[in-house]
Amino acid sequence: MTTQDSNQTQVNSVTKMSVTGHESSDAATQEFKPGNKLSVDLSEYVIVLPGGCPSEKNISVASPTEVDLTCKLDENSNLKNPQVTWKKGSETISHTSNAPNSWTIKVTISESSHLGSYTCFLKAEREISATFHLNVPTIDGREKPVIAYIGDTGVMVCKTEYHPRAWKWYKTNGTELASIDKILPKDKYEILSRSASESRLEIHRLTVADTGEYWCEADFVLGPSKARFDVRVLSVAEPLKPFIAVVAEVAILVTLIGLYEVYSKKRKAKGGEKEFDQIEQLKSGDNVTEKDK
Amino acid sequence: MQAKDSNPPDGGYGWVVVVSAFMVMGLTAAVLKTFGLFFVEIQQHFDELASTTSWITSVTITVFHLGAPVASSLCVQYTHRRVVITGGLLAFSGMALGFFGLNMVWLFATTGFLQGLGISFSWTPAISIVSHYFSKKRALANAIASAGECAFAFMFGPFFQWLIGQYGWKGALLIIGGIQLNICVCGVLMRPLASSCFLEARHCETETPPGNGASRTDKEDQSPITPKTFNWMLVRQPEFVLYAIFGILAAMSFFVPPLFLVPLSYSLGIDESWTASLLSILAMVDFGGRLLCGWYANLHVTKSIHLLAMAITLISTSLMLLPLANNYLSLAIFTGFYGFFFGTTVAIHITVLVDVVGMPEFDSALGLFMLIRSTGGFVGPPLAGLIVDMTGDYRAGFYMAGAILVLSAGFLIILDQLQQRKIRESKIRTKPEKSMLPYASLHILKHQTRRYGEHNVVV
Repeated sequence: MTTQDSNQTQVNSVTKMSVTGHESSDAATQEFKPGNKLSVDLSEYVIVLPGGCPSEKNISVASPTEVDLTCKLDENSNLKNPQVTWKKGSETISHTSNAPNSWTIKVTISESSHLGSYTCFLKAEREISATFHLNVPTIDGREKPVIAYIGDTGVMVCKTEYHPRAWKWYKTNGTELASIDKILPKDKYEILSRSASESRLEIHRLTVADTGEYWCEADFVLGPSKARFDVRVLSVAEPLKPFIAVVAEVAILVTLIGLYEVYSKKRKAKGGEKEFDQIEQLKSGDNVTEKDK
Repeated sequence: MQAKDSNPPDGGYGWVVVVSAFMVMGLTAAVLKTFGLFFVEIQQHFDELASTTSWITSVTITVFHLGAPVASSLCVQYTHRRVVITGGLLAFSGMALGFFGLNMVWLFATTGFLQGLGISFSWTPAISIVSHYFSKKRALANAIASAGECAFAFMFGPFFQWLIGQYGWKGALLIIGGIQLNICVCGVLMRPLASSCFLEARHCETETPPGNGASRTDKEDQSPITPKTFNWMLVRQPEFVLYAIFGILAAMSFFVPPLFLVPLSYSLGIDESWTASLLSILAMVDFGGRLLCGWYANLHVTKSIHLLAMAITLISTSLMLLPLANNYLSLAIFTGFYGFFFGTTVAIHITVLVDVVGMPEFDSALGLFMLIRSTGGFVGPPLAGLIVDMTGDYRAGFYMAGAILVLSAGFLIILDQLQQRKIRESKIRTKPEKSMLPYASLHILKHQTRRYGEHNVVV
């Protein structure tokens, strides 16, 4: 049901919550995902204080659901009986305390205004806080630029682990985003979706004018989420320059080495002849001395 | 009788050949190792499955192994130099044609087949010619040459990424193809030795070993002995068979640890960047291990085969202990040990092959050995994957690899015993010509001659 095991092991004060299930490898902010389905699963998210600084959690919410957000006080902490408030922005939310040193709020997310940052404040001798960020899921695009050649096909792929209702593609036109279907003729591009969680934009017969910034937008029930692509269209001449340079270098080296070898062979042949003659002389010298004996 | 490679240079121009082989190792094996960076790009571009894309590397590796015996026999017929130059041209064409990237099949044919063939035709002769050029310092030379793979792999990782970032994967393939053309430069440097080109004495640019001033007369005196293009008889030699079995078992286990190190590291809770650093540690320690092994073997304190057996034992120990690691530090230490001894093994195993079959058979043996060894490489990873799936734990893969290595070390020991027995027997045979024997040994000798008489051995 829940994607996290309720047995969270706190490793050390710079907390890496080792939790079974999905976990991004970034230790500072960890993403947890409630169920993808539209069901009203009860997912619980816990931050133990005092933890790493700052204590934060990113939670991706794709569709309406209910979540429990809990702030727990570590038993080794020296804060005793703190006063606890939960806030979203300036609005205070009433909480419950199901266990000693544990305070929970129940958040029902049914529209985009319910998303945002929820913070618990624990105040005693000093005040510490922890924040849960509830957002629509981020989608994976491509950070590195998409490089393609003139006449080639440029491919941009957008992926997510959730199921958005729709996918849209845009290109930056000056300061605004223009929808692809409005600025490109139909035979120039193709938008393919192999599954609901993936969308693929292919632009055919690229020209230099196609260079620019493209956006893919996933439309979730609770709001949209965008990813950016940087498309660069190069002419074939660009890689050809270093290529020809390397080939020229190879040709030059091969020629030089070949010439050097021919030269040294000639030198050896001359030297060998001299040696040969010398050896012949010595041999005949030996024969003479042997005859004398 | 002219002995082939009876006095190899053991230095001098040989070091140029070593540098040249170092570069060829880098331009072939390191490119293959780093090709994984192209995976995601190619897969996304053609909208193919990851498994289909990974077939490209499978084709390359298969063709590389199948091509090794072909390359060996070509080395014997033509010169090493020509085969390497051919290999360089093939590898270059494979990558450069891949630039046109029409479809997946095109990539299989170019970056898969042509590249694999090119790598095979470059790598095999390069390894071989180093052994031809050296005898006493052979271990050191082989070790230095093999270290090229690590050195280049280290550089190529970031370099290929930068190329892909600048020129896209297609442009990167084109440029890498051009860089691989440098294999031809290395090939031109690989001058054949005088004794290796008796048939083509006329147009042979030879490197005459020192002290053979009157080599011209020698060449004319040589009777044209037909070179064995390929010696299948090697399969009958028990030493070669034992070493080949060792090769299969070793190959089975060698591909496993790099495969499972990353998942094991993740399962211990170590994150991506630290895991990547483990792989860097592996590469650096590998490099160091190869050079150090070469230097040590060069001291001729231990026999090469004993050195190899020790290295294998130490690797298997590291692998058996590796699953005990439970945090980054211990994992890094064990990985370091594994990498170091792996480098040692790679550096010395070609030299041991020379000791097993002897230089005259070496070229054919190398090709055949690579071919036989490849079966282990194909069986190993799936078998390990099966074991991991059955036990549900990556550590099982390491235990399996360690156990197989212990088994392979056993074969090495059997091989060594066999070799030592043969040496002892041949020593006893040659003894009566050399020494004054007391009565007792004369008696033993008579006994031996009677036994050997049955086999028509001239004593």
